[in-house]
Amino acid sequence: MKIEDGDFVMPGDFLGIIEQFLPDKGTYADKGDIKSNIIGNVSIENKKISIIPKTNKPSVLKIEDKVYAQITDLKGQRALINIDKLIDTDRQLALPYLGAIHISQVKKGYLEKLTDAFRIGDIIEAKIIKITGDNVDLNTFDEDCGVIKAICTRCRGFMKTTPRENELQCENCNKKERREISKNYVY
Amino acid sequence: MITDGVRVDGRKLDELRPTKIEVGVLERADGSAYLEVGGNKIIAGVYGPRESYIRRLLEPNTGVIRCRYNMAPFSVDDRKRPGPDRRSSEISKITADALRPSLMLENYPRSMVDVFIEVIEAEGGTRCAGITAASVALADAGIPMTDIVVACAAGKVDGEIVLDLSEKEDKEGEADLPIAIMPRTGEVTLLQSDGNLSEEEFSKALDLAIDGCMQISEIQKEALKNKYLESME
Repeated sequence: MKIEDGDFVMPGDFLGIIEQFLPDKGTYADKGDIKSNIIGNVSIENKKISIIPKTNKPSVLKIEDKVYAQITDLKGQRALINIDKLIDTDRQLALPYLGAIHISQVKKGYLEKLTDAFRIGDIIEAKIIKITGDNVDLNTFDEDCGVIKAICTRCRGFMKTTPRENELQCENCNKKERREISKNYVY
Repeated sequence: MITDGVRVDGRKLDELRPTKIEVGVLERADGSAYLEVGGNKIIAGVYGPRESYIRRLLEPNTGVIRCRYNMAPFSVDDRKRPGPDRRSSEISKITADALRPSLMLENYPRSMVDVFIEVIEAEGGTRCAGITAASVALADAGIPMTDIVVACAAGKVDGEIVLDLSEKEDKEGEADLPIAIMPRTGEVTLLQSDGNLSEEEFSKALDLAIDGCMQISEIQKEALKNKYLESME
């Protein structure tokens, strides 16, 4: 049986021999044979054979992906974050990533202190710019990136937006704080 | 138990019980499957690969799989005391071991795949049914795997080698031989044996069980096709 572009295959299905194609995503080579390892449709592109998955797939981060995350620590020039999930999937992340945002990656222009942008416990939306092993660097340049939920550092009450840019006010104690706010901020 | 080559439930010696598999039955699981084999009703759910806080189980170079086989208190005639016991811990372990060779988790180091097998109704051969359902659920979760593992049992009842023992045959029969294989390569990932079989009977039972596995494998593939070819249109 000859495999063609667009065919529906399942794990273990024979796709061709190793001399025929270059095994790419969703395939594996087994003793000279190329086989599928997921459910999906075959895609053949200049000798590269891959499978386009039809199932949902394990959540692995890629550059340019947007994520929801929480600030766990502020260390001088670096905000350490815990990445919770990719924005458009419900699946838990497959690997234990360690996220960080450098002060220069928070916004375009100069930011004097990291505490003017984030505080521990803030929920943020951010974009991935670099992945080295488990370490992930992110930025919040985009309009929809930045803090989406924050609580007051004095009384832990929820913060609401104020007419001034990048300023939040506590609903309980009226304390004003500065944040790098996303346009999706939820009160 | 056997009269003129017909068993107590009316099956022939080499006949499987009616089998039905449904894919993607649990909304919140990453992959799931529901399986009926005769009177067995089993749900399998897969979560992951995901980060795990059980550090001692994780491996630095690959992902790991963990299984939990559980029987509902109402799954058998006499109420089963809920919670893990000696039997279900064993089945949990052998299920994980049977599924592991098919999974390709090298790209997910320090992560864990969790498989939950819940027996809603039991009628003999739940360990094989559990493995069969779990493997379909793993494929549904999109986890890279070399093959879809399938399990089936053969045994000896009234001196005859029969396929796919029911509860009655299992209890009153002389031997039970559950196996799990990867159908495309024929590799055996699980082989257990209970009771007494002669060398000749053993190889006959093994061949019969492998034959049964191949038949169930087709049902597995059909179930996955039903779900994913449908969603194409």
